[in-house]
Amino acid sequence: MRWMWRLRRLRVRMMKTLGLGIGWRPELALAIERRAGLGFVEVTAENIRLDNIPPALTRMVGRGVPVIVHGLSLSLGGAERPDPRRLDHLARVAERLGARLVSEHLAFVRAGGDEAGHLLPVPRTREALEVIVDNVAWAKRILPVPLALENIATLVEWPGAEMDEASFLAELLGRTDAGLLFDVSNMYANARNSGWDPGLALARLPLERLAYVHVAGGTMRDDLYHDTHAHPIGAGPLALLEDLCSRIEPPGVMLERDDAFPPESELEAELDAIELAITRGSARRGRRPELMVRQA
Amino acid sequence: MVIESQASAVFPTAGLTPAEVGYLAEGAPRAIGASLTALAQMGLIEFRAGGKVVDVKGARGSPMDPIQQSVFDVVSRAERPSSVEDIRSAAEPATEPNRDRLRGLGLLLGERALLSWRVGISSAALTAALLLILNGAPPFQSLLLAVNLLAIVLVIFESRQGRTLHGDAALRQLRDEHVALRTSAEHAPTLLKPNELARAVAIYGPAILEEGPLSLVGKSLKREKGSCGACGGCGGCGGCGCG
Amino acid sequence: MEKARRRLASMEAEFIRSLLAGGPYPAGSDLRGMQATSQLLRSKRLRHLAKAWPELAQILGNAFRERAIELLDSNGLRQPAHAVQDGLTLALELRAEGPIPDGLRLRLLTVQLRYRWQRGRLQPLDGRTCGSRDAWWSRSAFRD
Repeated sequence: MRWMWRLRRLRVRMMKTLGLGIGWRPELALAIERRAGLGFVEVTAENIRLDNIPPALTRMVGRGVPVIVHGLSLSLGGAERPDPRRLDHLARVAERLGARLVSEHLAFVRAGGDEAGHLLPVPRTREALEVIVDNVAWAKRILPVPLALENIATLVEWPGAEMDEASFLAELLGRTDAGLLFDVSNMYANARNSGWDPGLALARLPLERLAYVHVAGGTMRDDLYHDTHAHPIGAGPLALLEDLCSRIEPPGVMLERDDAFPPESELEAELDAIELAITRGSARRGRRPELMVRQA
Repeated sequence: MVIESQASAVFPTAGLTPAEVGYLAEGAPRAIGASLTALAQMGLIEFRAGGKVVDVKGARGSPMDPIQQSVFDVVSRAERPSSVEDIRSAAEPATEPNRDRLRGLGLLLGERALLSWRVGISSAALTAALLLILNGAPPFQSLLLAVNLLAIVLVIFESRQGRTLHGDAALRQLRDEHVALRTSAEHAPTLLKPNELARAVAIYGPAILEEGPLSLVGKSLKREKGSCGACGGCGGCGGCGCG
Repeated sequence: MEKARRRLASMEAEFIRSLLAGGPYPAGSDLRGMQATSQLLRSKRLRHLAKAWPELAQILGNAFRERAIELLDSNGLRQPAHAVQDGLTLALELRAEGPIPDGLRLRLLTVQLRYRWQRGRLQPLDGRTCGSRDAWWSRSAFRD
């Protein structure tokens, strides 16, 4: 089994040079096709019908643009083992699109027969961690490509947490063979709303497991920061991205935009802002060799 | 524009205006429809319930090509809201330069070639009827069969909008190359520039707008005079805008 | 492991149930966070309804939010989010109350042709979502 572990690590390493990417959305199909030098696209598995893959997406795949498949509804943080049908769909979409990686969330979306339609936080207890580790192992047995786990944004914290977010994530990644899909904006949102320093949390994450990065916009509403994916990226998430890039060269960084789609010029500006943050972070990394994280 | 740069070296589709692309696909009605779409996107005209079109007083901007100008003139000079059919009838002569350019590029048959084809098809049907009669088939039934066959073949021929084989290939190329444009037009048409949206309608037909915020435009333009009008009736002509 | 799963199942079920119901929340909960999340879930569902049925939002105007909240409260947010289904229920209510504009009538007809009821839930025919509007709600379901 060790050779499989090594093969998976090799695949993750091959992701190193993804570059700048974006979440593929039909509204943005033209702008995405026209973006010069786009490194990769991420596709939401739940929106893909295998018998009706959007021709524009097929065309991108045909041109050799790398694809990552992103799931929303697996509920890896739930009490039940992941649904084999949902896993099967993720696997098939990944195979059909030639995806090198599948990602999902450290979250649950259903329980007791209720569906939240929203990513909800897991209780950060050792007991819950055991369940989630088992769920991730189960999922990885079925998926044909490596799996990366994403940290979510949440407005609510469970009582009785035994660990903070960074520690829980670090321990989960340490106990599984999953990569890290680090969502800069989600961590920024949680830190902003709970009053802790995201930079300190970032320093405790196993960045050598970084598979790729999400960045998205948000807004303040009733004194809380909402990670909406429907607003321009603010200075806060961009600063955290720069901080991340000052510690490690990210394999790939992508923009998430799901609503209130902007004209192409604004989308370009968003992508340029991400590139600038990466460049600034990399420049700082160049001047801080003692903080460089060696990638395994 | 990347769309232009993606055009194949095989067919000169890159330099075609949206109205020319529309003419190639479905003749004058599509060319005019594409122009109306661009004008609506620019805010120079407005579609109203019942498929009527009016100009928007005091709107900024101006039409970007002669067809758009002609179409805009028809709308703005009308004393009352114009129907799409009336606009098409009035603006059709303005599309003749499109037709001529496409003929020059070898994408459409010339007048003589069109006539030759029509005469040829009719002669073939008549010859077939005569052969049947000479071989003892009942004359009336033979003629009836010949007329029916003639009608079917002529409908198929006319639905090609006079395209040459090169024209068919160019249209196929356009449809293959612009799938991303189509997707954006279907899901977020208001984000597109006027000529981008016009090009999408020109290539794929107004039906691509039916589900989104420009559904009124799509539905108003959908019945294209001179074409088959509804899905399923166009055979291999490159589509009647039904998606 | 099974004990751990059962305990987690019970905790998460209570968590979701209280969020969808807008309270009461489990003892010791982060009240502010739970209330904000309940509000978020409801806003999402309203937003998706408005996107899937712009005709309804147009017809009802300022009354749309009130009518939609009334509908969701009476059926309960615990019914899985389905913007097309929520809108269909509201559209049928309006039709029963009196004449409806052509735009809404057409949308109603389209939905009735493209969807069918299966086990109490509206499902697209042949498992397909038809048209960009109908697919939108599933895409944005998991974001704020």
